[in-house]
Amino acid sequence: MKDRMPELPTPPSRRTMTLNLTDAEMDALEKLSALKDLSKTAVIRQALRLYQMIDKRSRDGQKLYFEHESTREKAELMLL
Amino acid sequence: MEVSKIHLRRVRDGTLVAADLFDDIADEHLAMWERSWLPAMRVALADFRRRHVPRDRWPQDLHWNWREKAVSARGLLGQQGFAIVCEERLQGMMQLNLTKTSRLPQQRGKEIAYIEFLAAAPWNRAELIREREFAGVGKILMRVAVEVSVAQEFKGRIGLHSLPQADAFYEKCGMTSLGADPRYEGRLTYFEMTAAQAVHFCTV
Amino acid sequence: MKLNIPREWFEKHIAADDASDAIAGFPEFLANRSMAGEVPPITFGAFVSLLRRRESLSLAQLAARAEIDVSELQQIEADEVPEPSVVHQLAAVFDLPPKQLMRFSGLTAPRSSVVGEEPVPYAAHSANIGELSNDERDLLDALVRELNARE
Repeated sequence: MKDRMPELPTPPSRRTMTLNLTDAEMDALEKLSALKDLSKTAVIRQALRLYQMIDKRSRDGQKLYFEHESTREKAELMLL
Repeated sequence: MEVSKIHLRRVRDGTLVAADLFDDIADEHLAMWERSWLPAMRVALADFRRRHVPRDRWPQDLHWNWREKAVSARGLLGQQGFAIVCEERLQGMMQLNLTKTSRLPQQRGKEIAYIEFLAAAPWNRAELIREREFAGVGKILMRVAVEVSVAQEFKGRIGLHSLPQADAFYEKCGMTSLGADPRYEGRLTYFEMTAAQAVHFCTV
Repeated sequence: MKLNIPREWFEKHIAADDASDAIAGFPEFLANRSMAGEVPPITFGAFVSLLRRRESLSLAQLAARAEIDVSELQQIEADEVPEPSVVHQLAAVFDLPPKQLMRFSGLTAPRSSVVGEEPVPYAAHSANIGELSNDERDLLDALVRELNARE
């Protein structure tokens, strides 16, 4: 039996929007898309997920930190 | 909230039974959790105490507050809950996190669907009941995680943390173990499924 | 989202004798430090009672040590929700982390039948001092360990 990619599930209803990005923003989007092996739309959707989650946690009084893997140094990501 | 058709295996006679998969943990599911899972967990707990079973052998999700988890995840795009209902009973639940990335060297930094919490109903668990009602709830929810991963263009990549006693199960499912996770006192094993492993897992 | 998983996949991959049914996620020992929503195995009142009996104290003796009223202690052991200051004092007497003990006490819903009831006076000096059974001792030890671990 030949292995194949699982069938795509049916997506929920969609609404369309046009994005106006600068050259730099579009470049960044394209770079991320290549790095992450995601379409540009998927990158934007992921960015939205992260942004929403960060916002919620900040509102709950939590802080977002980056921690360096080896040095254990923490740098706070200030989001107001 | 959308419903999809899935099948569970009835242990008693080996038949496949149609079931509903919901892409949300709704209030009705939480009510079922409170009404039917919690009392069964309490009975199991009393039994473990009576038999002097050491605490680290108890089901490790006894304390999980699914209501808290589900409610705090509501409205968040990065968290997705799932519930399985069959014969009007809640058979399993899962919560996914879509904001994590892979730790495997060959796909480091690429997004995965991370299984934050997954549990089958007490009557479906071999460690809690002599004859389970339905088998496969855990594996089916894993497949659901893979499907979500594919839908988000994560190519079927998933990840999860396992208690050592469940390691063999995940290995059998074809996942890669990254060993004991130092972030959790080394007491949980971290597993991931690559895109290739996902294709294989989903093959009929 | 709607999924389309073919029936054949279930036929092939889901066996009735599948040995283990997975759970994934954080186990008890790494639980979220907040005990909110947890179901304790016994009520707070029952817990205090076990602690007291472990030390072979009568209600009057424990009340004296904790510097609280005997009637207050009776009510607590009868599952009335205690005042935080009282819990604090009990924590000191039994050498338990006050914050964890307070969380525990807050999780116990009062038994509706007890609200407004007059405490029974004779119980204060009587023998509710029985030695702990093995089960009771195990449960008590486990709970004490848990409270200390969460601190």
